[in-house]
Amino acid sequence: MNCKKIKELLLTDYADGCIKANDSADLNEHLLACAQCNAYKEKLFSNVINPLRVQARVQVPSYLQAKVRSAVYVESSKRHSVFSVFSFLRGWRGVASMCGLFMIALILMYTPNKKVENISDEHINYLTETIYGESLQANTSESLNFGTAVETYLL
Amino acid sequence: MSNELSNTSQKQPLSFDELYKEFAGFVYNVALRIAANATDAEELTQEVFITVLKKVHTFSGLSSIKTWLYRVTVNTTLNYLKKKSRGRKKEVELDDTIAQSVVEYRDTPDDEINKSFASQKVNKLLKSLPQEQKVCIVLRELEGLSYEEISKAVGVNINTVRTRIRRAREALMVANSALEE
Repeated sequence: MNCKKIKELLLTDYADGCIKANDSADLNEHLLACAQCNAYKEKLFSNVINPLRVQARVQVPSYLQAKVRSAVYVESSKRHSVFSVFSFLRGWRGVASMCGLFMIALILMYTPNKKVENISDEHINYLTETIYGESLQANTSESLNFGTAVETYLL
Repeated sequence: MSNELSNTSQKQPLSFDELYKEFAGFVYNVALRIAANATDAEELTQEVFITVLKKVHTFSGLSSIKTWLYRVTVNTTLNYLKKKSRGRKKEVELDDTIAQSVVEYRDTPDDEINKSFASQKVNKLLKSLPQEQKVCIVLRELEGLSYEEISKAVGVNINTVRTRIRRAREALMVANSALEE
């Protein structure tokens, strides 16, 4: 096993206590013979690994619990006030409601307009008299003068 | 307040106070070591517990609560650091916080001074690391998580965790040599 492989093992599996038995035997054998790798191992543990591992946890400030509780409570209140009205729409109810609205919109958009049927001549005559003051039937033999003669426009 | 989280291992609901008492220590410490700033760590602790409130219904129960909380803490911290602008107001730096806090823990005055100095040195070394390496080395060395637990917390392959830890230790060796010169 060469020095590069030894260093890699020292930096990972050996440092974390999960080196395989075969690799452990090879590593120990190499360290007995190689002063450079041995020095590297000592430096790694004394300067990097041990100083990190003996670090005590930093104490959480005592005021932080009340601060976090207050923030969580405010957030919880916000969620309840905004969503309480629509809370019944969560999950499958919301999906079903949206599908229903979509179907209603489609039906309304594509329903054909009913044609006006069965309008009698009497209705037409009534409308004509109302609008123009003349009966359409009385003047069927003559052309109706709506004042649109070409002469009217030209003269 | 009746915010509760189900403890899937015990199948009993946890109140906010129980949840905070159980997990605030590691949430705060992980945020503190990654963000390297006490004010940010407090805000991040707040954000994490708010996230717990929002996402408690998505908890799958497949991993332990602690691993899930590590993941939330790491993601929240990294997202927070990305958004943070450069021109923020002066805040309490990590060195002061650690120095004071370690003093509170220790009994012997000489030990207090020595440990405080060592803590400040560790903080300087950690500051030299890229974020992704710092996260892995903090979870491994300071929180004692295994490679598999770190893999779940960070959301990367276990071999990636191994590589990041190796590179982090190599970088710390170099940084330590630079400090000693």
